[in-house]
Amino acid sequence: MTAHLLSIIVAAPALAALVVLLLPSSARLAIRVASLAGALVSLAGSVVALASYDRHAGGLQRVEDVALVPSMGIHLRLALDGWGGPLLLLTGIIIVAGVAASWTLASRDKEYFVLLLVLVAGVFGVFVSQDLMVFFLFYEVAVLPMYLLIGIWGASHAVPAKGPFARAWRVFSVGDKQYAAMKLTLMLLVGSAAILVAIFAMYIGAGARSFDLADLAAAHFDRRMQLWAFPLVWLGFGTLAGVFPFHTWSPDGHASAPTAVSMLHAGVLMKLGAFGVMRIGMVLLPEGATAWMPVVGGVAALNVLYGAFCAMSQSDLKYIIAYSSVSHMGVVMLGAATLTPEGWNGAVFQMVAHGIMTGLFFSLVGLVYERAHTRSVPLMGGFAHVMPGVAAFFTLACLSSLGLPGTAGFVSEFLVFLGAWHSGHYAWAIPGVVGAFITAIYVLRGTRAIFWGPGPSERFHALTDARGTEWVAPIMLGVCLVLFGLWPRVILDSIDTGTTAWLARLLAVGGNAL
Amino acid sequence: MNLPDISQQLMALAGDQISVLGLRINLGNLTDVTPDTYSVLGWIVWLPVIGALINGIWGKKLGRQGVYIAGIGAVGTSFLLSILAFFTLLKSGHAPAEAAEGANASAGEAAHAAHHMLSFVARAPSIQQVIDGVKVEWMPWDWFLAPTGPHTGEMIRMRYVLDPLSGVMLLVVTGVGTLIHVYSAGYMSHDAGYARFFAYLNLFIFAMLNLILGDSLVLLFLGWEGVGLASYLLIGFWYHNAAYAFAGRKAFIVNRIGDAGLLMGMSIIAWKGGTYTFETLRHHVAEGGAAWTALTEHTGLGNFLIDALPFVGSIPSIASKMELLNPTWGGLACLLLFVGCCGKSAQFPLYVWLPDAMAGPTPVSALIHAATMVTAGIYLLCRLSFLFIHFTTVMNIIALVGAFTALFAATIAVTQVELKKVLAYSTVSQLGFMFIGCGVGAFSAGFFHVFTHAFFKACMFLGAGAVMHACGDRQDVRELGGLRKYLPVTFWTFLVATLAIIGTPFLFSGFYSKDEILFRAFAHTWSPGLGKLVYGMGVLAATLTSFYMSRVFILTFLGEGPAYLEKAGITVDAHGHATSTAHDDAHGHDAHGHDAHGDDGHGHHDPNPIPSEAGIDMKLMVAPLVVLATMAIVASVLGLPHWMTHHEGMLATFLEHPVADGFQFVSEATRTQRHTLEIPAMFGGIGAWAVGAGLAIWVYVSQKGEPAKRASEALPKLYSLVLAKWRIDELYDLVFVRPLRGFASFVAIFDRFVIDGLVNLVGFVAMLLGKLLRPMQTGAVQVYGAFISVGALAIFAWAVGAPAVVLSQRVDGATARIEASGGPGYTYRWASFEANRDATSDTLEARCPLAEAAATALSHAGDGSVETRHDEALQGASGRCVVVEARNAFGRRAYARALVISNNPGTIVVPGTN
Repeated sequence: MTAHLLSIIVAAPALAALVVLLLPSSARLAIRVASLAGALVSLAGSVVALASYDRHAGGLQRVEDVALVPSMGIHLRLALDGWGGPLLLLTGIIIVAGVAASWTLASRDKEYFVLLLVLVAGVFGVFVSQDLMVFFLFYEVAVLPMYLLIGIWGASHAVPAKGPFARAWRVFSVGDKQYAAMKLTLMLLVGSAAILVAIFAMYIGAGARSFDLADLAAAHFDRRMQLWAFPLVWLGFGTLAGVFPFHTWSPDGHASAPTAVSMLHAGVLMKLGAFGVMRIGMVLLPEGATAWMPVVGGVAALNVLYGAFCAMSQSDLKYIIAYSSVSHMGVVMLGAATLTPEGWNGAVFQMVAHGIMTGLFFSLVGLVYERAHTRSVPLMGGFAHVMPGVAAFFTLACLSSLGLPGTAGFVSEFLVFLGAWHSGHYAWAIPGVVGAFITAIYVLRGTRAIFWGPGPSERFHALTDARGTEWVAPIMLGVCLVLFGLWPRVILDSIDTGTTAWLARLLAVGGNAL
Repeated sequence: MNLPDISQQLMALAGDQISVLGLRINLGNLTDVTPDTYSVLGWIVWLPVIGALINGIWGKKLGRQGVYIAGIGAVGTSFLLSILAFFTLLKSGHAPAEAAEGANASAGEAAHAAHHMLSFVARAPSIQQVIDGVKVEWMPWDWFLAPTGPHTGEMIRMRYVLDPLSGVMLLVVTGVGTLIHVYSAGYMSHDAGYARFFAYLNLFIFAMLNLILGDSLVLLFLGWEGVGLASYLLIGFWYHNAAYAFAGRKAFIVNRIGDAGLLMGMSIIAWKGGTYTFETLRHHVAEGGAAWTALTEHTGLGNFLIDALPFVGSIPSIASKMELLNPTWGGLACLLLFVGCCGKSAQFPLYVWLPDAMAGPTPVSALIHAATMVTAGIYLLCRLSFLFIHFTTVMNIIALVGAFTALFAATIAVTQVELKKVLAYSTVSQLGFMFIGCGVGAFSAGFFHVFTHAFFKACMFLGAGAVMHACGDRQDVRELGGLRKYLPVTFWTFLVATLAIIGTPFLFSGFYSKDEILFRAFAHTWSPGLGKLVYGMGVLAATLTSFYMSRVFILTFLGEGPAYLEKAGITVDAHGHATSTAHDDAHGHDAHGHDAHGDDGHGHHDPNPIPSEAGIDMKLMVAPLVVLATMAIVASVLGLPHWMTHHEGMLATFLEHPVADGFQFVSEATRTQRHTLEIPAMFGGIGAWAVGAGLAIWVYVSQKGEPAKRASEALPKLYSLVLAKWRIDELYDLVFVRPLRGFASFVAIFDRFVIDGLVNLVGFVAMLLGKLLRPMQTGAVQVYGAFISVGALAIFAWAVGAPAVVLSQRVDGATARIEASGGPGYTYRWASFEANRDATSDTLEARCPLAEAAATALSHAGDGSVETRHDEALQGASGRCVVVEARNAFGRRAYARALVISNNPGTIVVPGTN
């Protein structure tokens, strides 16, 4: 049983999806229970996987290998490494919270849960794949259902376009859920195409024998190839990680998506992008990575500030959170670009911290939106009177967002800040400080505008606090934020194991090349 | 008898074991500790969290009594445990003291013994202990591994250390905290959000305890930001008032600027000093300092920058420790830390949040914004005094900023009419005094002022709260007056606190603490000129303090009865019974009473109540006042000046180990000589007190405020400028807030229209192409037919055009296989011939010239076939040329050739057609 733990983690949501597919649409409770069961199995598996990972031994553990296309060297090769455990755990937490947050969904719920579960199976797959081709396939499985999830269950035009370009926007259907879904899918697919080119370049460069990540890492790729392949991987995966200037799918996509999809997308999917840049781009193409790092870091620093400034002047609640994700994913990329152990640890920790934090944000925004039927912040105010619980958890998410010590956000931002400092690029430390400051401004302004102030206007008098299953997501995610903030070693030790191994090699190879 | 003995007697009195709620607690275990397992510290820190959780989650269900029990109980128990811990600390310091005493017993010096009477802890015998001092500690778990530099790191632990400095602070925080919790039970008795209030207060205590007990900069930072959070939540406690909510946010954001400085300073210290932990840092600084001294003495270079000593870099262990003492890095780090202190302790230019913070309930103002949190900056300076003392420039900046803030805030306080506003600016000003102390190297004097200020300022704030509670939330001094009759306890305690803050000589703690600071500025050793300047500014600020505090006190408590009652036409007879002469007005709201800064969370019963101290609320509120006022007098004992006792103050002696002092750097003789300046310096302070208070009495008692009115009319512009707080808020709004907001809007628009515009443009181009091609899909067969015809013609034209042939190759063992590209109806004729031996290069042109040889070879090749491949054996060093003639269905021909060289089998040059 435990020998195939990773398969179980990946397969459980997929099997649950299959079960849901076989259930009649009318069996609404059964659909939910099956989905939750699949998610819970994965979460439990993730906890076991993380807890049982031998941090002293390090390396790949729980290896499972099935040859898929032996002639091309494609294997279904799953294994747990230092980074895998924490990211699996993140995904498990988010999917359980996401299923809980979708409990009250009204329309086409069967198809919705099927897609959600398929998507998350893909995510789990990416984090444990040790074969580049399978990695990519899982990646696509995770990305593509998003089109349907947003296009069908999304919401359009929450805040109508205003200003001089409103007419142009209407032409493009900006703000429309179909527009958002299409934009997101197309941009990510262009990214995938770039990744695919780089994948084949690596496959051929390593002798066209194997897609195994270890084999590819051991191959000494031509320096010129690395120099052009790395930016493809960086921007290809980076599009999903919200790298400037390929981030514009994110605000529209997150704003249009239904609650659980926003949670999964910002919470987990964006991490796939950053994970891809680090695990594929930097680890497999060390010389290219070293050469490009000043650019990657510079763009990441820009991301942090740019996203924060954009978030500062949004009036749509979901856009605020979405731009804050752009900013916080910049922290991940910045940490990665420092090429220091603390920077990498901080980057991966930030993936988890931000995933949970933004999941919490979106679950709460969903609760507010379901009740108030608006996302326009200026219309809100005084909601703390009617939904104190939601207000409390929202504040908690804000605190993690601005990096308050004691929450998970602090640990990662602190580590990345130090990494930037120690990397020798002193300017990269600026966003760590200024970004946190701007973040404080916009999250607290948001909190004040939504929850504080005189009692809500007539229109919102009947709003209620979260009830029943709606509490599951906020409580789970809120507890995790504090837990990882006060006891970060739960995941940080494991992350460090992965970082140490890969970074040492990267610096050895890439450093020589410089 | 010194205090450790008292603690032992207490223990003896209680017996070895006491039983609380059936839990048998072994006191022996609690006081006999090995240093790292003193779990009492854990309880002290975490009990308030438990209280906060209970009240935060189940507050509504607990009811008022339950909330009070949980909230006050948590902090009160924490306070009792703090006392226990403090005695334990004294006891653990006692053992080395006895050893030292034994060693010195033969000397039998009476003075030495007397010194011991005053110093709780005797000088520790070993060097190690001089650095570490005495302490007890508790460590529950490792937090995370924080890097201190490239490839080095330090495990940050949740480790709490109690030493004399944190011990004193601990008693202040939990002691004043408990009093204010009790007070709040009365003050918040009409407020619906009492459970939330107590949860926040407990949270604050927790964060503050982390700040003072944390053993590393990172843990201090946890507390530092944590108290900021609690402050934010409590300032905006009445969140339904948008202005209050705004004030809370402002406090947090201004503090964030300071926190950024702290974060950067912290990381530089870790980077250059190799550690986050205070204790280790102290060792490193000591070692680095020793190395410096040794080097400079050895080389005779004097106090040059470390960069001037290149060979030091070759000793990494020492170099890293010395680098922190390099004025560039160390000075920068200290300056950044001071920026953090400016934020938290409300110094210019980051003080702007503190006056607005008075939006919070009054107990919050007393606890957080007067007694404890805002002194965190001074605490940090004291904690790192061993480092700061090395950077005189930074110290001078600190002293100047402190002096300027003290003076600047005092000018604003002179004009304010709201009780809490005056107290707020007074707090800013007093914090400035504390920074003067630190800046001139008298850290313990600054800290003594923290200690005394905590009592008298908390007393004043709580007194102000009692006034507001009793007078229907009024705090405008123009509406008050004559409260002496109605609120006697408040009156007397407020009087004591006022006398203390204005520095009334010889009886009140404020006199001694302020005087010590002023004296140390006067006797400043390393920048005497600056010392005199700071002293002058301090005396001026003290004069203003004396004036405005007397003014506020006179206007509030003395003179005719409260103005609002008179306005409402209510007269009060000798028995306190009200008779309304204008009944209709009695229930009318007074327009001035409900401005943005009134506490409007409670007290809506009667708009014009008769002030009284009767009632359980007021009893709960005035009890802490008495304690605090008593402390405002008693605290004097801890800091009696040298000229009275011929010793350093008790507190200064007690803090000798953890807190460095500028005086440690001068010789004993100089120190003694400096003490002769004490009495001359004191006259400045006493003069300030006399002039300020005298002026206030003359203006507001003798002349009934007329001179003040005339002065404000004589200088209307200056008056309105000062009344508007020098318009600093407006300046910041113009210079920082608006540009920032504008820039954010610009970025957001840029993103929407430029960046996203480009994305949409790409989409638009794709759509446009689609639109262009769309007319082709008409569905009309004739149109399709026409397209087919055109296409067929195009293919035909291509087919009858010149054939194109491209060769590709693969080497397989000893043969090279040449392959020609295909085309419709193509036939091929292959031939090969010996390459030109005499060519100088291996290029195709040189070896295989298109000459007769090729033509000859082809002429023997026979008829064409559809075979696209040709195998050529690799032989001979000169290589062979392969030539192919491709012919399409219309007989048009093309040629291609390749060169096969055996010694370089991989290289076969493939030509184009010809």
